Amino acid sequence: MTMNKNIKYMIVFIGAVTLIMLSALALSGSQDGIKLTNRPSQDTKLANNDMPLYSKSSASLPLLGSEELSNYSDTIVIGTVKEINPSKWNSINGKRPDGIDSFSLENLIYTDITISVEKYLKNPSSAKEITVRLDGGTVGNDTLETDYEPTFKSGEKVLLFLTKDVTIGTSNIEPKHLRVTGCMQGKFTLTDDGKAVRPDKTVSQDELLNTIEK
Amino acid sequence: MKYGKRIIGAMLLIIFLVNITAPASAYSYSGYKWGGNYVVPKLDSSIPSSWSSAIKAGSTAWNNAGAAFTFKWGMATTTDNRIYCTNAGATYLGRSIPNHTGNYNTRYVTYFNTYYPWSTASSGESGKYDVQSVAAHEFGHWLTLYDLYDSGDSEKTMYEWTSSNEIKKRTLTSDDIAGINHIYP
Repeated sequence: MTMNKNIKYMIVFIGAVTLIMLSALALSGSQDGIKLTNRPSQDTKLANNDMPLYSKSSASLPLLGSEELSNYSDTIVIGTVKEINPSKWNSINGKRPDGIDSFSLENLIYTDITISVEKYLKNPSSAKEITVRLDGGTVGNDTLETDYEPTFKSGEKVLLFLTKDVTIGTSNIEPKHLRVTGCMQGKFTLTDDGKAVRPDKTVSQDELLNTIEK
Repeated sequence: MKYGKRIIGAMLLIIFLVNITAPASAYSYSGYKWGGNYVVPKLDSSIPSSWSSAIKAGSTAWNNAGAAFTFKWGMATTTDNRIYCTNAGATYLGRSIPNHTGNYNTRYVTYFNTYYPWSTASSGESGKYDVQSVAAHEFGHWLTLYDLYDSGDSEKTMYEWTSSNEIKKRTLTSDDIAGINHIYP
């Protein structure tokens, strides 16, 4: 009986060690499982218009303090995420334009977020709702991901630093909208316990408001 | 039962040792790569001519990393991998957009945001962002390395955030070098 128990423990032990080793390999960033070949030419054939497009767009962000965020912003609001609207291509009908086989600043997917405004902290307006435009989204089989834009959840209470959209791809597309200043740096989630939370930073809401009011 | 406790104890010890020795995210690789061992970037006419050397120097840092991959300027190619200047307002400094087919890159474009003040001075300039540093970071994306967000990665070229007058991203760290050598050994 004791022998059987020991065998069981040994099996569990070996299984656990195997799992730990696999986890450690994954943590180390090893991608050896991906087959990589060394081809002589860089000229890979581009996707045709029927093929799904996928891209993950990355960016360098300027390191902005609260004061710089305020100075760079055209308006600052506290509000609630009312709706995350369906993503669109920046074309007339919101679909992928004919002949487009790659993403660029001229041809991209965006997503509009509707914010119910509770309070304007800079440049007050009578508008009860505003639209915030983000790069990225999925339309049909085409996906443009971004790793620099903030993420939003319906019903989330937020403080947003916002700036005019002047980009060539989306600025002229209705509705009237704004961009998040400094991308992910310009959005704080406001929690019930008085905190303002960003992926890289948590401060008290009072501290953040004091910085803005200065 | 006595042996069982010992085995469980040994397992806990191994879990502890693995966790303290597992490396942090030295680099973040997307899983994509170029089909060949070089890429040909082009400078769009929107790029000021005074920026040309600084942008090319950003790619040279990766060319000198000892990997089997090269940024080759001026070669004839059918793929339009291009670097532009554009005004994107108070958003990002530089942005790269890849396109892929299967596990391979098919095209890359990069945009420098002219909303912000830029410098090509060898030692950087107060209140301005360094063209060469941001170019080195964006070319890291062309190699399909992702951004690093942890404050412990702040010295690396692939760290997400850049301060004005910061020139350290011009020089790759050992982890940036490990990244390109992993993708193109």
